[in-house]
Amino acid sequence: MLSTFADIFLTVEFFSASVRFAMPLAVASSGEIISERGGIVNIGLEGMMLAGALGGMMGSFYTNSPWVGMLCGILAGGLVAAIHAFMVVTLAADQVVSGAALNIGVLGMTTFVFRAVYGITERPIVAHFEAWPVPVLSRIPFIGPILFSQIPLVYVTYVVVALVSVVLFRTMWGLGIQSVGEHPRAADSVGLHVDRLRYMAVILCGFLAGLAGTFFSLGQLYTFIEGMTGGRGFIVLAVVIVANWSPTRAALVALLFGAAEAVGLRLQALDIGIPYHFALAFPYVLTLIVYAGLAGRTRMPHALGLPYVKD
Amino acid sequence: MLAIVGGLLVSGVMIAIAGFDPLETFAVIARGAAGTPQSLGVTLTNATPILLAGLGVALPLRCGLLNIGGEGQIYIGALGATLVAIAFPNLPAPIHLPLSLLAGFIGGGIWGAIPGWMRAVKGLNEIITTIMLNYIGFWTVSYLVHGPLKDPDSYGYAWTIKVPVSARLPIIHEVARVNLGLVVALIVAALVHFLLWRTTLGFEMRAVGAGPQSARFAGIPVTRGTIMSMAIGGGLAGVAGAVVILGVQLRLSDFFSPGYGFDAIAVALVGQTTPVGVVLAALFFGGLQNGTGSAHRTLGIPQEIALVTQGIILLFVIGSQSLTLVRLLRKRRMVRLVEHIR
Repeated sequence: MLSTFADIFLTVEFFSASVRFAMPLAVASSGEIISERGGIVNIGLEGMMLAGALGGMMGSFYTNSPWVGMLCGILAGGLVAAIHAFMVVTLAADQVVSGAALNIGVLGMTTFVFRAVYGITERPIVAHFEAWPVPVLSRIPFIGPILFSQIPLVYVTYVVVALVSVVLFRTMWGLGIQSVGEHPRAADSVGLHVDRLRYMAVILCGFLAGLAGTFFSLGQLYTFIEGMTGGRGFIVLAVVIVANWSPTRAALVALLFGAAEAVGLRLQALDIGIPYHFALAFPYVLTLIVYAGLAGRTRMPHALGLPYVKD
Repeated sequence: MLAIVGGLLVSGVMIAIAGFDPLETFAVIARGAAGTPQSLGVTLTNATPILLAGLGVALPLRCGLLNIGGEGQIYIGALGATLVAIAFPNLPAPIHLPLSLLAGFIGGGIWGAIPGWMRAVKGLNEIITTIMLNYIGFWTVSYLVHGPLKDPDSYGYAWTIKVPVSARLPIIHEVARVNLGLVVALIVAALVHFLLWRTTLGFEMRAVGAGPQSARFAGIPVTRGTIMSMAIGGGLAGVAGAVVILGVQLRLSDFFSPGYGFDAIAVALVGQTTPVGVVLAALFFGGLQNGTGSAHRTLGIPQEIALVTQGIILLFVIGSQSLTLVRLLRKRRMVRLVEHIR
């Protein structure tokens, strides 16, 4: 039994799949962290990822280039985020409710647009990302095939996570974002443009969510399917809290979820008697336990969820 | 009301862009929603679960909690109802049916009480915990209907055996095919109204929703209000699952809910979290879904226009609420209050 376990899970393929599945979670977490550090909860992440998935697929469909598709996906996510920013920053609407409304609307909108453009039965396969081993690095034993023989979107993820960490904690702009999320009034009084910074944070989050969404349509299934992000936007919300609003820690937590997803798929494919349902439920149980265990030990941005209205 | 008009306007523009005549489409939707007794019956049947689940969102919202866990509570409630229904096949209907519905309430109630307890005692955000419980609830039911509870003669379908007749919700109108679930839902709505405005517990919940700090200072048991609102809210969603199984589907599967738990959020918010508003919003959305279904069949327009319209109306609702000056001023006071407490 133990040796079968090792054969199934301690393989390069398994770890490589874990990294692949972690990619959209890690990218979207980075985005959500920027937004929440700026004081705006973005429950609409799921919708933004879905918009990214459709945008990516359509961009690639018309240009035959997954890279152009990726850009379109990023823009589509940003567009949905702009609506959220308008609702919660300009109109000071409830952030959670606005996000929930966007999720519902975008789920319908993406399917509507897809059907209206391609019809009920068509499901075109588009140009997508292929695995591209990084020269030299991919030949490192064990690590190489796992980390550096992936589709380019995974490498983009490495860069995004590193960049977001640096920008958020090491630049003036990042500190500005953090201050409007901690104490908008104080930030305002020292001359920071609270609304402008919050707009930027939310839209940047939308860009990254859109990027995460392209993984599904350009890196996994090569087409668009209704609701194909499958609730991962919600997992990201938990990932962010468990990671205590740190992008690098979020990437590690995302890896854990990627591994859980890989376990689930493996069990489902092998059909060795362990119900795959348990494997698929496992990430959520794990999150709940970790989240409960961390109670009171994480520190969320002070003004998270609160609208800022100037006097 | 203005929000609904705005939402329809925007989706009309979308329909036009997609190459359909918006006025004709809306006419077909309206006819499909309530043109004949049969279609009205479908609308009412559609509205029943989202009415109940909508109350399950509205009640905790009164207490300041957003219950995104409707979907999981619906599945666990449906599980509870199914278990009681198939475990006691020989009970007389007047006992069996209420008992099965109660099991639905208890199942969903447990699934709601967990995040309520976690929020009240450990300070965990109910949004995260309810979302996680959605998936755990769904996969639990999925496992059971694929495994121990699977109907041996199901020809490969993953569902349970049919619930016995004594546990089914009887049809109350033969032509429209409406079942007793609608009546149950309306009674529940009245009970929720009574709970909120005529009982101590309801007052406590509303006080906690208005401001947990001041409620605490006023000696109101915040923990109890928080847990109870989530438990009852979850229970209502559980009854929603129960009426779908006992009234329409007759078997538990892992695909019986097309997202009732999420429709419920829209219903609760458009209904302004009052039971009467929830009833009206549920009827509206039930009709919208039913009507777009018929527009899909006759005109070929993608059915998802219903979801789009729902989302847009919701955005209009929250947008218009926050635009009003009163609301702005209140928010301003709240921000000051929060900063003052800190």
